[in-house]
Amino acid sequence: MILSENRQINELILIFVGKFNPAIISPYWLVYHKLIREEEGKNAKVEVIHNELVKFEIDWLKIQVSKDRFEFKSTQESYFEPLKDLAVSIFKILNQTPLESFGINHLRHYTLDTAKEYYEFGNKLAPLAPWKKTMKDPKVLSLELLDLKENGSRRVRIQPSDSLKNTQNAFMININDHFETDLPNPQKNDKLISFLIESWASSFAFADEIESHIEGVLKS
Amino acid sequence: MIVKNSTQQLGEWSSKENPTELNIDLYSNAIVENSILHGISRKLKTIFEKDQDILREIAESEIHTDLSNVKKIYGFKDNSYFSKKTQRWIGHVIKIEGKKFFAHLDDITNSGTNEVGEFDTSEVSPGDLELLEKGAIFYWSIGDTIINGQLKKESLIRFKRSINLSTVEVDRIKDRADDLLKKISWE
Repeated sequence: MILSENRQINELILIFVGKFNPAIISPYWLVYHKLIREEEGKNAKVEVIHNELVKFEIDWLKIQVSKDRFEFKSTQESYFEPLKDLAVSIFKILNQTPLESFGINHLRHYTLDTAKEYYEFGNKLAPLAPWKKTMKDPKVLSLELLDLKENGSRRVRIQPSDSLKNTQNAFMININDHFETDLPNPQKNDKLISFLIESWASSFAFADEIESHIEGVLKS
Repeated sequence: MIVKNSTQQLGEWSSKENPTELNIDLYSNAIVENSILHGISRKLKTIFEKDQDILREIAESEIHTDLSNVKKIYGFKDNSYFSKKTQRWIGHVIKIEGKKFFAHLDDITNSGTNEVGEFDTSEVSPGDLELLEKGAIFYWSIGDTIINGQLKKESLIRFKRSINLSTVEVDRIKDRADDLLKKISWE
């Protein structure tokens, strides 16, 4: 089995933590700075534009901004690179906006063919035999691992898929690649944006490695 | 906003522990502490008061453990447009000849390979034509997409849009110069 062929959804969510002024960010502002096409701005679906919350989407991107959180989301792989470009450009323009940290979140959703395979997958991740002494019919609900790295941390969580709720035998791998720095502002902003640009490819490579590892677990 | 009827004892999600992580775990465990809306849920109710259906949904979802409604209103909507599998390249325009352009292509999906590709300008979206020039960078992808349950094969070219740092720097310098000029009193 090649796990990537069982992948149904590949979500990318970029989350920045800092101090933001949500009302600045609008489709029109993005068009003004030529960060998106004019047609995309005109056809944007705006849910909220408010001093404390902004939420809108264009064809390939959803943006949600609050006072302390800025989220970019796409489920279309063709636009993952443009999403990064957009984030970098926004924070280069808003270079006075203090950033604290950011995370590249890879959410990949898969289906397995049978319920037995699904059960055995959990069993291989976290052996259930020891639990059967005290529990009737234990099943693995989720597994979370944390790894520290030089500029932050990485969390890998495996759990039932929240996007494929109506699909049987569906699970997701949720990888949070978290970046931070101790530098003071304004160097902190520049450093974090550098991390984003430099670590982009390696973050995806890490997500692919985790996928391969899970594939190995399934085959074992 | 906290769903009160859950019988699970859960630790409070701490934004300090992992602030950049998408807190979907809380959705699936029927407890939502949405830091975005914690302070403004009442304000949103005021905004939505014009639409009684939405207001009713908010009220119902606050006492139900099924968070699909909550997620629709406050979180990202369910996926209706997503990629299945794509092959992707980064292109660097090296030559434009009439209605064709040529580009070096770096394969993102299978790194290590690069080729030269020939494209027709008609394949470029109207909104990107102004960006087509020698040296420009674009993203090219081929693959399957699911749109509201319909499988679609697509080939997509999108030119890179990014702020030229020197342009931003120039604007900043100009602004600073303007500020300084205003402070000068000419005699």
